[in-house]
Amino acid sequence: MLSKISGAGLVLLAVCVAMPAFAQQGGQVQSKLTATQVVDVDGRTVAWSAAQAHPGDVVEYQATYSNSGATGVGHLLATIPVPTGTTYVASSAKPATGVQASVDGVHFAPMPLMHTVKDADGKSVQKPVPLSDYRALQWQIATLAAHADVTTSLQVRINAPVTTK
Amino acid sequence: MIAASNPSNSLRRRGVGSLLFALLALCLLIVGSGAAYAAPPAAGTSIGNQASATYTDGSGTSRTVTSNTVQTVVQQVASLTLTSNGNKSAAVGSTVYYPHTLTNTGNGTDTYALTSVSASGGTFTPSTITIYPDANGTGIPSGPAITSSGALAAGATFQFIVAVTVPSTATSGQTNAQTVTATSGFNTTKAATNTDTTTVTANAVISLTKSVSASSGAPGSGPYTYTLTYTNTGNSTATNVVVTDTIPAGLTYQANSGLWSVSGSTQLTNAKATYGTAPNTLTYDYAVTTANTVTATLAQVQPGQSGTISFTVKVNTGQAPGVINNTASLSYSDGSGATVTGTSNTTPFTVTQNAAVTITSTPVASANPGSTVTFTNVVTNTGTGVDTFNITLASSNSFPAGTSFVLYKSDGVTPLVDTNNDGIPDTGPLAANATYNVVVKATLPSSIAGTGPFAINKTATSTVNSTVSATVADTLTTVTSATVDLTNNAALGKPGVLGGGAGPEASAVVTNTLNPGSSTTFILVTNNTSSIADSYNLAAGSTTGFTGLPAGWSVTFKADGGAGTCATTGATITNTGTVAPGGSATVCAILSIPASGTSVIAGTTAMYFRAQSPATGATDVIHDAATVNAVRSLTFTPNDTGQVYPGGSVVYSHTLTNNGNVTEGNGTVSTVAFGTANTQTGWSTVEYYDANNNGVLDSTDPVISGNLNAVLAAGLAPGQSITIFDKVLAPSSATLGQVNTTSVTLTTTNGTNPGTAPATVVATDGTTVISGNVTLVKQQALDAGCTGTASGAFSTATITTGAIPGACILYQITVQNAGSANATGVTVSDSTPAFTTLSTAATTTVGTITGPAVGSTGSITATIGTLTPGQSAVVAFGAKISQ
Repeated sequence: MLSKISGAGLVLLAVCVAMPAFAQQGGQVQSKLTATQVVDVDGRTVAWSAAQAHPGDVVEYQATYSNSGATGVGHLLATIPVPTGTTYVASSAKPATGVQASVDGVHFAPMPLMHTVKDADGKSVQKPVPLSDYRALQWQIATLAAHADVTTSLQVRINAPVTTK
Repeated sequence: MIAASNPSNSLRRRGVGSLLFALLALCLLIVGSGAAYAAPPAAGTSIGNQASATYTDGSGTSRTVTSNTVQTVVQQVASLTLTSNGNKSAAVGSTVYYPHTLTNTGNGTDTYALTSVSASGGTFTPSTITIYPDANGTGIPSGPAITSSGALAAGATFQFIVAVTVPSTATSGQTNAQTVTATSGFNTTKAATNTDTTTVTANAVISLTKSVSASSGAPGSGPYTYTLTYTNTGNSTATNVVVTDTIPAGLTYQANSGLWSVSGSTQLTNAKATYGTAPNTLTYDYAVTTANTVTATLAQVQPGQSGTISFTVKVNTGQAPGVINNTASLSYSDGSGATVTGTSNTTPFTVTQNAAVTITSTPVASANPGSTVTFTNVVTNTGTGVDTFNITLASSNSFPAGTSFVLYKSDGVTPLVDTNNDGIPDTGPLAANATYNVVVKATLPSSIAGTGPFAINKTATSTVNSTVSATVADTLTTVTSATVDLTNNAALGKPGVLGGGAGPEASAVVTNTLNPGSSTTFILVTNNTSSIADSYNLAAGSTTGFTGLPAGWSVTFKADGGAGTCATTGATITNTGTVAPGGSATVCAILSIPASGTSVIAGTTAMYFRAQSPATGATDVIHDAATVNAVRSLTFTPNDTGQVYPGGSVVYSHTLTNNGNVTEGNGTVSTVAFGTANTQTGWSTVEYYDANNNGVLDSTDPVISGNLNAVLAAGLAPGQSITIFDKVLAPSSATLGQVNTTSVTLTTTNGTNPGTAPATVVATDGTTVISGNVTLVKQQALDAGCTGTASGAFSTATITTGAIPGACILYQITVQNAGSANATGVTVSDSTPAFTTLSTAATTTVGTITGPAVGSTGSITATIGTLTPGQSAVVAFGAKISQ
């Protein structure tokens, strides 16, 4: 049971592709997502395939949206989830403007997300939501012209064991 | 303390997290999967990610696009924690047990090598050092000696005991430190150590171990018995042995449940009381000395003496699943006057999880065929711990065949996915008492038999306990047909809208007026009152059957130019294009009518416009009308001249034409009165109506006396022409050369017809008195082949067919002396008509003739000279109609 709970924290989106197609799916915009592992080697950032990674590694997700239609589209809300089992890396969202974060994938607000908690003496104080609770980032793109592309990206760190002593 | 990644700790953190999130100031809704899981993903886990976007396309439709899925397989890392350091006193020759807890904080199964070696600096060497498993957490070996933990799953713990035996050669005060090391088999560089320090003493040594009657239990279950076993392994009597045990949160001490091995079945009450016989007494209480704590004080424990103290607890109802650890504390006087403190081993008790779930759904009242119905289901985890609920739709349902169902996450956009790799979409981990909205979208077929209600059952099944589930039906109460509302001038709900609601309306909503030969625009708005996008074919007609328009009328539909007012128009259309649900499209219907003809008679004509969806059949008709303005005009032509001998008469032919679009002169709508006047005394005039329309005054043609309707009761219809003969009679006394001018005046007076009556029209005929009486008749005949020979008979009638460019017309002018005396100096003059050239040279039967050459134009003059009474002469020529 214990291992089941920790396993249940993972969103195994592999099954996603097996889901029935969206009712409103399709249209003139296509989306492509890539995952690369980002490593600092001698002060230089090196990226390679993230097909495999260890806890503690940083993975960059980059989504490209392409408008193949003959007309522009508006109100593009581009979302990249932060998979369960990973933690958003602060300030890694690109572009850094027009982006909001969410802890539930539904309600988005500017970063840093804040919440009200009661401290030890019972007072309510505003504190940042831990990055580990971020579950998705969303970019608001007013218009995407015909035959244009837009790319958004973010980095996550695969949760690592907490090593005490 | 155990590491943060210990599952039990994670669970507790999660509960706190949920509490904090409830206070979120940003109104961020927390769902089960939203809470933090700092634990590393299990080795071999595939972390998938899929980007998505919503956008609005050109038609205003909101669309969603999802990317490919990328996968990252998590590799194993080794990590562990080991607790805790031990520090005990022991008598010579005795064995001391040091309990340890090893936790695999890595993300995969690992096997740990266990070793214990003496650290440097010790002053005695143990005679034996042995590592035993402690499967039950009792602090007592549960099996033979081991050197390995065995395979340990990620997050799992392993309890073991290091047993240190003090040699008989040791002396009081000597010490030994054992370094206990657990080394990962997956990655041998990962190890953790504890140190167990043993001090040799000649005094009393009390060892305290603790055990529980069951290792796990459900919330609300029990009672479970905790047993504290004390033994004096030293060589002196211990006094004032105080054992305290704080009941951990989640467990409830059972009143008066204490038992002491010395006093047998005598209950130890909660109240502080003393049991036994001095000096072997026990003073016991619960929550008197210290809150939530058992305090047991033994007056003395002699060397080798042991006993047990036990009590029972129950697991609290609603207790979150997890491990409850409990450790008892100890202090005693060791006989040397010193007070020694210590603890028992730690006893884990696992609280199992109660799974429970509820699910609710809100019925949808109505929907259109072809639309997508959204049901929001609230899944509530009413169990005691984090649970993931599989969501399944019943295989059979009462929805129409062809309905498709898709499960979505709370946002209604992202498909619900399987998060626990069992192949079934689920809610993701949901904290106790947390809720999650599962969205079901049912896309209905475009054609549906029956009106409902339709329902499909949906079940949420716990993955903690698959026998626990809840089912609810998503119900669509009725299916209603797709609808459209065609309005005038503005969209529904906007200022100026007319004609809302189903049509056709009983009376015209908008009536436009226009003149013959002009056009007018009706502003039509197609309002999509359905929940699905639709497009509509456009039609116009003068009847609700849409069988056509009056002759020459046409309606052109154009897209609005953008202002919604048809001030400017776009392309010509026959279909509105896609109209979003609740949206509207403005269409400009341009009606054009001909300048003349029976189809533009003044009056109001109903105009029906229809918007009809070819996909859903949704249709609406609006009833408008077009009023053609009245145009009133009469012409009476030509003025003419003639000759008459005294006492003779001459007949003039005039054409009366109604060029307006209303009937004139039927005596009701208006009256056309005839009036005549002659300039010479004694002259008279009679008007005839050419009733048989042969162009010749016949005996049957009636005399017009007074009003037109006397001879033409129906009046003169729009566009109609009639011939009026004006017969002028000269008196016998008329003198040669006298000229009389006859005026025929037609005056229109309004009857029921409103508006301005057409102007009075007048034709004047000038008549000259001559002595002889020469008559002149001009006749014509078609010469289609320009052969010079007539194709038909000559007549005075109008040639109505065949007189096409390139054809020829032959003319015969017959001049006759109808008088009683010779007519002298007779000359006949004519000319080639306009747009003709001479084709047959002019000839005359009497006298001489001059005229233009064939192919030319000009005057023709026949010099006939004298005609005797009764004699006639014929002048002839042909003319070719110019091409």
